Amino acid sequence: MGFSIWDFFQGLYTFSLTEPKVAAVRFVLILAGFIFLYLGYRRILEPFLMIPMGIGMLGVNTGVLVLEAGKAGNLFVDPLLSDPNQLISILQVNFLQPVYNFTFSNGLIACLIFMGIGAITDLDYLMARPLMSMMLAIGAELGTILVLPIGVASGLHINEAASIALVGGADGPMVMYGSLKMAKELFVPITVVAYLYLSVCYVGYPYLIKLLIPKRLRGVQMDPLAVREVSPAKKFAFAVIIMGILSILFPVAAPLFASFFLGVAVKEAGLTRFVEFLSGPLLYGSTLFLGLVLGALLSSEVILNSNVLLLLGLGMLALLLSGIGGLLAGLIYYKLSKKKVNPLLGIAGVSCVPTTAKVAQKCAAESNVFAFILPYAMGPCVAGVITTAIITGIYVSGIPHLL
Amino acid sequence: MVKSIAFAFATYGVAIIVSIFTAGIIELFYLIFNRKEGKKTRDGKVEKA
Repeated sequence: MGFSIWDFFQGLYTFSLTEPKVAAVRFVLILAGFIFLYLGYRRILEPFLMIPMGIGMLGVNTGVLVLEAGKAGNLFVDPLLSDPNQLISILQVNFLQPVYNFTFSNGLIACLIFMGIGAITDLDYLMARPLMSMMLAIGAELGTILVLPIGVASGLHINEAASIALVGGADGPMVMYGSLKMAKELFVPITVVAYLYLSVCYVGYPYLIKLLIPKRLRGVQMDPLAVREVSPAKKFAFAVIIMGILSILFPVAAPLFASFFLGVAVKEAGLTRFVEFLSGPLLYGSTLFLGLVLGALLSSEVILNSNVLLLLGLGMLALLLSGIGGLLAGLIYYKLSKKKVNPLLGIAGVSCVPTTAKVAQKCAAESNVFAFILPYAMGPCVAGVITTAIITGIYVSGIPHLL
Repeated sequence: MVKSIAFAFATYGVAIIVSIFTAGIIELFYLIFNRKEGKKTRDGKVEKA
């Protein structure tokens, strides 16, 4: 009988099967899984994402066993398989493989989340001040633009640099969709970096605001009743027309536009059952599986990619530059409006609906308890989704011609 | 490198144009709808266009 005690404790045994560096990274990832779970549980980071992601990380890095040919592996997911025969076999073994192959690798999960976001998005505030909202959102795309050449200068291929630059748009589904289309091999680390940073926006941006905007300007009051009224018919018509125009201009990103504006259209058409489905089970179900699969993809093989540290730095830089760009645009609007517009509206242009709008309101209220800017901040926040989709469309359709 | 800088700024240019265009469409909506419905004032009354 060739049994050994280690056959029963393969999770531990496999630490000795792999190289010391891989084993050490695996140990660090197990710890990181616990930390994510703790931070999610304490609501320090976004719990809807961190708890499934932490469980996925913990599961995939602890549950390593000896597979065929004495190699270490897991029963969660193998993102590297592309051979159809191997894929058919593994679909019957790894429990998250069907979710990965049928919803991740074709970008479906990003579209499902976008449908949910569309169903909870209120276009009132964007349509009330369209030019201001769009211009503030464009200012807040600075990181999405500047990190592309910075990434290339740091040694990334232009498609990889464009994918990480999209983190500056602060829309998780867009980053995921863009990286799947442009740099599939880096899709996992880029998406994880994006979601990790997006979940710390609420904590990080107030420091940037305090650094760049004087307290006097942060407390500028705006009349919430002066927001003009928009009927559902106008919003519905706008959603349908703008979806058609953007899809004609950027067909590569048409699935994203269709998904987002489908959510908006059913909401404005008053289809309550659809809205309940999109904004409830679909959005939260997709977010649950997004977190779980992303966590399960975070194995030591992925983290040991030499570009991961660079991606971490560039992702942070993209969000930082976008925040600075948004606040500068806010300051310009403050001057142009003869001091009537609160410059904090600029940070809301970074998007990450509705986190940055809440950040703007929180910082304004800290400086002046009478400053209620949330309705105005929602305009650039929603506009940020559209500007990021436009830039994603240009990157995804233009970058292949530069390769 | 130069190609990436040129592409990035060209993208910014196109995004600005499309954003202004989008804002223009919304304003056009107001023009058309308000002409049809009459303009609503803040106290809820409707002014004839």
